[in-house]
Amino acid sequence: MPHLDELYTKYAAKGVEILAIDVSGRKDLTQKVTADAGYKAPVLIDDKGFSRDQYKIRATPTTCIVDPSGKVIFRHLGYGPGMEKTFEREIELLLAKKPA
Amino acid sequence: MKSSIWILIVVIAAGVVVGIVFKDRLKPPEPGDQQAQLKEIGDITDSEAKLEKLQHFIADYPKSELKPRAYSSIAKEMLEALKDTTRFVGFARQTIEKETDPESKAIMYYRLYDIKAEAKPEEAALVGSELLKVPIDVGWLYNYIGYDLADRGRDLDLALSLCQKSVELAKTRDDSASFLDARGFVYYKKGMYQEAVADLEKAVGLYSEPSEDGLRHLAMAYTKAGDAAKAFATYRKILVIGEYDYARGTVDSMMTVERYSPKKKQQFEEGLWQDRAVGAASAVAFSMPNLAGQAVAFEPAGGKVVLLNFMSPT
Repeated sequence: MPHLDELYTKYAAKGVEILAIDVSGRKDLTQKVTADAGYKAPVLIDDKGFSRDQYKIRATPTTCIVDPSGKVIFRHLGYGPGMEKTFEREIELLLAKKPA
Repeated sequence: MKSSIWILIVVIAAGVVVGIVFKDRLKPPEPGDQQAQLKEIGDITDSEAKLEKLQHFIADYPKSELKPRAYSSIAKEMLEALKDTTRFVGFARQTIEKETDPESKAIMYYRLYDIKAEAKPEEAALVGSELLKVPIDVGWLYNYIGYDLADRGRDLDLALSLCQKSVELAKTRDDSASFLDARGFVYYKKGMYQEAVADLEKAVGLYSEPSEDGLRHLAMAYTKAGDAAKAFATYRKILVIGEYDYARGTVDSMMTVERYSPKKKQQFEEGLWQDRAVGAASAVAFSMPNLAGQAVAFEPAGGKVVLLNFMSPT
């Protein structure tokens, strides 16, 4: 979670949208955790199983990166130390490809 | 004649009384109800009160699908909130003895293994040996312990037996994929590269969506088995899934060894992006409330790069 906020701080100004989607159905806890962490990126609540049905999310955390044409160009289940580097490289590659 | 009518009346009356008394118990509770109950229990802040409610839940719904989840919450509360290992070990042993639900027992074994693996790695294998003697029908448990032992480079023979067992217990295609993946990894750790390649090729073919771990294990096994061309092709497949540092580094150095011309390198990169686009699904639009309750919409193909992180609070 903190690593995601770092990405948000770094890339929001470059036009990258970063959305956290809570699929746990435990809004109160999510509210507390994000407030305690001083989390700035938007957190959305999915309590209708949309992510499970439409994005085939089976476990968390799953990270998807969507390119400017709407394709899910990257998808990764799990989070390990250093994973944010991979997310960053994906974003950088897509920003470099994006026509100015 | 007269007495048989009386008996009939008594039987009917008794049936009505039993029906009224047990009405609530006879009617199976809605799974949604149970889910709501567990959620409510999860929000209790006092550990002892929470543990008591969880134990009641287990006693009230002995056949519930959510029972393993309740056990899992008990383990979490005792180990992570109260940090009382002794108490948990006692509880786990008692549960293993009394409980008949395999999935619930598996949760206990999994935690017992983790406790040992952290505190006394030299004794962690004991939990694995015990599981081979008292088999329970839960593949992921054997898979988890077998893979973890191999990852730590310990007790590789036992790790192989455990992974062997998990492969036999696989129930779904994805089970088979990840259990073969783990067994292949154990073979790799044992230096049996041909066997590793055979398992890992099968695993990679079975995963319902491309698995970075599976491909990484396979690429490592190809390298050790001396098949550089297949190793290169497999690292390339990892780069089709994502820009992973190690895969990029390996591919770059392999291209240098093979003296790729700048033009050939460029063709490689273009091919990579074409393959990525082919495999990519289209994102689906949505609108969801944020924490303040305001709707936030996501429209794909809006010319923006978007990162979606599907998460749950930890």
